[in-house]
Amino acid sequence: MSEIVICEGLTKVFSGCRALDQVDLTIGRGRVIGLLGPNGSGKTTLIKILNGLLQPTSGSVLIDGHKIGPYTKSIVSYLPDRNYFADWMKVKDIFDLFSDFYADFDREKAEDMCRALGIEGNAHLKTMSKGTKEKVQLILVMSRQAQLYLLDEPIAGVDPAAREYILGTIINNYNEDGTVIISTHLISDIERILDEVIFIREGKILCHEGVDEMKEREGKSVDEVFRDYFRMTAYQGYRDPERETRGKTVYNAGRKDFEKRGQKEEKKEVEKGGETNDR
Amino acid sequence: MTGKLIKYEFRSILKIMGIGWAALLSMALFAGLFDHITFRHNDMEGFGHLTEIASAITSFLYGSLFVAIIVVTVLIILMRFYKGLLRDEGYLMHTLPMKTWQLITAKGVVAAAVSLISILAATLSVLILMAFDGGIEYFGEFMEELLRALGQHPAYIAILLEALLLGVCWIAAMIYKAYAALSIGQLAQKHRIALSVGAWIGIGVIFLIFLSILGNLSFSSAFSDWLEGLLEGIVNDSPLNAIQVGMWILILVEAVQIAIFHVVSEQILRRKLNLE
Repeated sequence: MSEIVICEGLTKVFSGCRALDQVDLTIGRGRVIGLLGPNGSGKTTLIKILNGLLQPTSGSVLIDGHKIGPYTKSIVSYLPDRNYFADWMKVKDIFDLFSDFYADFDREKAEDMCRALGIEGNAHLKTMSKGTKEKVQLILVMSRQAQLYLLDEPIAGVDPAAREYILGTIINNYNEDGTVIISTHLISDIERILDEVIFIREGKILCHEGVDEMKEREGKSVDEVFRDYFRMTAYQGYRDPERETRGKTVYNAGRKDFEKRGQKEEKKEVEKGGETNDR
Repeated sequence: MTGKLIKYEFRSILKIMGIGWAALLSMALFAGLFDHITFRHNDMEGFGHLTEIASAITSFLYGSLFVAIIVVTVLIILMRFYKGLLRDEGYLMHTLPMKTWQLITAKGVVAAAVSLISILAATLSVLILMAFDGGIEYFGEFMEELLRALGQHPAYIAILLEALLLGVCWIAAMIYKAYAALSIGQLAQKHRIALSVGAWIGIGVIFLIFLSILGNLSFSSAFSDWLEGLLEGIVNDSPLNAIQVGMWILILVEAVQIAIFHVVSEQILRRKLNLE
């Protein structure tokens, strides 16, 4: 089977809100794909469904031709957007766990990568800084020869040097027969490593195409195309449609301020009206 | 693979509980020793007050540790399930190539084992105290009598084993009931612990209603006659058989509860997992 992921009519509803809406998606092998969209667009929901952490409300999803289950979990390497280590664990304990449960885990490679960062096997994960924990988690994920890597916001909230380290680790260590899906909204940082992009907004796939084709067609970088797709108008204050019909457009910092001004103007008008009547 | 999960679950719990069990047994040893010195050898000049103080402190610490072991055992069982499967650690556990029932089974098996070890450690600590106080002789006599009685009436061995099995099943049923309550609680977006407590109470009420319906049913003539006939055939006028039948009915009730709570937890975590 040439496709690693096939989603058909995938929908996820959370208490009335559609996080994913009729998503049809086919993803091939040996690609690095950016799953790009603003916050709350459905990126994490899609990744969680692919991992089996969420069940879709409707639609179907196949990974390597199989429904989500122990087999698909054995070929998917997942980096969540949070730390999942247990307090009691040392680095060697989590390596033991990965060695026991994932046949494709290369322990030697993981130990080498940790050594390069000066992380000892006997180090307690609990006492590590947030950044170091994230690096250990990334090392675990990228030390697997997985068919599909799902990396949820791997570069969010880290400094530029750490970003370089993370992207370098991903590019230099993934299984080249496998596919990497990186979800992020920080396009400019990852653009250079992507083969394909998927734009997602409000749970709908807006576009899925190769980076080169997109650049050629639009004559812009992916980051610029993304900004065009997701451009938003900045808030300019409260506008009163009633006053606009009277030929007045009022922008200001907020409604309260507006209401105060309105009350003053109305007072003036009443006073004027009173004067006219007196005349 | 479930065995591997059990191994990691044990490792996670032993790091904390191992220290607790060792501390309880050590403190029983010290408390017993100082108690023995204070009350049996109170002729030690100049040391009398010191040993009295040491005895009071060690006895207090022993009592505190005894209570702490019970509380910590319950807390750690609940926390390992809650943190391990329903909080951030769940991102690792639920993406392992395992089925949900295996994750729950591993937690349940280890929780039951840890409960039993805590009970054994508590019992052993009492025996240590008794040993210093001469009470171990009475315990020895009791055990001798018990073994003699079991030798004369081998049928009692079965009853003893059934009682032990019933105890284990009761503990496991309580653990799985807590798991089911926590699984229901995680369905909420907020106040998950409060909903879990509510679910625990709710499950208890449902079981009471179910048992009262069953009780009323057993008074209905047709069912009552059928049950009486069945039991008469098995009991056969032997009180020993009657006890055994009673034991097995209770074991069955606990086993059914374990199965129901396991299925409830598994279905919720498989279909409605909510790690947010």
